[in-house]
Amino acid sequence: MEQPTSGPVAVAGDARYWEQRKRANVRLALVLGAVAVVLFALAFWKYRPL
Amino acid sequence: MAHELVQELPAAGAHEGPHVYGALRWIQTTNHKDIGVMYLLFAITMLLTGGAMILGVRAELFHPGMEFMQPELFNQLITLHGLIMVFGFAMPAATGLANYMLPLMLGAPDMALPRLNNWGFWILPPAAVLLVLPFFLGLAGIGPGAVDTGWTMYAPLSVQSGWGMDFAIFAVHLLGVSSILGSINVIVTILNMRAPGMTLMKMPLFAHGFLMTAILLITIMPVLAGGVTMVLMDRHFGTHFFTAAGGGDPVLWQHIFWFMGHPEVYVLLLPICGVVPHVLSAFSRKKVYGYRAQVYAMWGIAVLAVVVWAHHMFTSGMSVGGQIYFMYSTMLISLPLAVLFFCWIATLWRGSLSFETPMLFAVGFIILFGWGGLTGLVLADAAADPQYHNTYFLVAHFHYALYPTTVMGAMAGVYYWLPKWTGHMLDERLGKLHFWIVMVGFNLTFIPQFLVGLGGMPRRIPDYPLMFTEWNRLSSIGAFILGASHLLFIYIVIKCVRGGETAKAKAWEGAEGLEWTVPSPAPYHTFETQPVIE
Repeated sequence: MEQPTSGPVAVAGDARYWEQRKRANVRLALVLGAVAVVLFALAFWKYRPL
Repeated sequence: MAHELVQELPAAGAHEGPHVYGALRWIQTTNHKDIGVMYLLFAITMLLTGGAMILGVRAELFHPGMEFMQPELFNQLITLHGLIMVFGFAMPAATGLANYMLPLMLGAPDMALPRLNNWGFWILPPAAVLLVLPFFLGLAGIGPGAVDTGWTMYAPLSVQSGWGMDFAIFAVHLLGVSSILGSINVIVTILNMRAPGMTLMKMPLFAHGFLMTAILLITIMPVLAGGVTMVLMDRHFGTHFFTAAGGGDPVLWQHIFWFMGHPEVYVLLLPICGVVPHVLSAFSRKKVYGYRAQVYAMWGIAVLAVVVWAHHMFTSGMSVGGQIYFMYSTMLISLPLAVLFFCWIATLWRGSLSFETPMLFAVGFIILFGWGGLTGLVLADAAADPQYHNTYFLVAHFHYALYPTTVMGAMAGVYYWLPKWTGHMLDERLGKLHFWIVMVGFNLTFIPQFLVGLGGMPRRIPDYPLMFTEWNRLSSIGAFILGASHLLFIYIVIKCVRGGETAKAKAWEGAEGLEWTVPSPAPYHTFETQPVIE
């Protein structure tokens, strides 16, 4: 496994950078959460009593 | 290679530890290392709980006839053992490893969603209490006891069982929610938090294993949640999903359960398929063989995992076409698994091998899991399966598949990264002793079970004919040896936490990866300044 690294990148203090990343994280999490809820509803709906 | 770079300590003014101390620290923490430790502690607690329960079962089976308990208690013990080990031990143990190691290996400052991480963990203890409380209440003479349906919770038994089943349903709901929250966090961390330059195909295999596991969990856990909700409604709200008298179908439950239950095997396996190559590579002093092949093989396993579930149901009645499809698709999984085995062995080939404790556990995993896989092929054969189904052969196969992965593979990882977590090298002499006790105890427990299974001894029955006595005694002795080995494991970990030879940043000579670029023990906050991968 090649994982060479060079020097560190100065991003730690960049609040805007991390704010952007945080928003992207929350967006993706919401999508995944929605997928889980849809699957739950589908499993239930598919076999609902007639 | 910049793996020799030791990360600089946090800048002056940056806080270097938790904000609060004592119990509040652990309740409030959003630090991935704290949460990883809590997951691992929870998992070992559940391992001991589930293990103690099955030792009660093995004590009963030491001798034919009813010795220590009534069949009702026996049923509760085997059911709780299964549920606790799968949902309470194996899954949280993997999540603990992911929490602690993923940010370190990806060069991320923490998991992507730290608060969600905290919630995900703290859902677990109430779920565990819900699961076992009826058992202890039952022992005290209050109520009918815990869920007693077997961990598969087959209908119509689960519809008719006492209120321990309701507790189990809510416990499964909570465990499922926890697992989905953890999976969301893992996926988002891997996709969004990797260090700049670390493309998906430069990512450690560890991360690939957990990415696929998390995707599988988000696919299957909601379906199980739907299933147990249906059971709850059949029990209390007059629906008939699974009751034949009202037009429902008990076999429907089996489809729903195994749609979760079979991929669950790979949920437990794939993280370990990510751990083991790191250990093999470090102690062979060679690069991982076939990185891409292993990634594609893991994807192959993950995809096939969700389309083969009904091989667990050959004896439930199925069309010939269905049997043929599920038989061949199940056998197809052995191809990507064979690729993984080949790559693991090729990593060892002509390496400069040394057999420290993590390596012993990794090699032990390969050998024992190999037996689990081969005996699985027998059960996957639709023509042969009715002969073995519901016998101890199945129990032995299942444990050869899952113990080497969830326990031995996880221990390979724990021993491998323990110096990074504690700052101390582990006691190699005790570690090796632990390994050999596990090997003797495990094989002594389960080889006899293959034999009594082939002889026709059914599982989940608290009594048996005299002809099976000797093998059952050996199996029980092995189980107690295996149980004792876990106490030794805990002693080794505590000893390592309390002291020992100081570990370097790169604790093992052949170790590769970003986690070895930070000091040992890893500082409370790591990679606040992200490294760049070339």
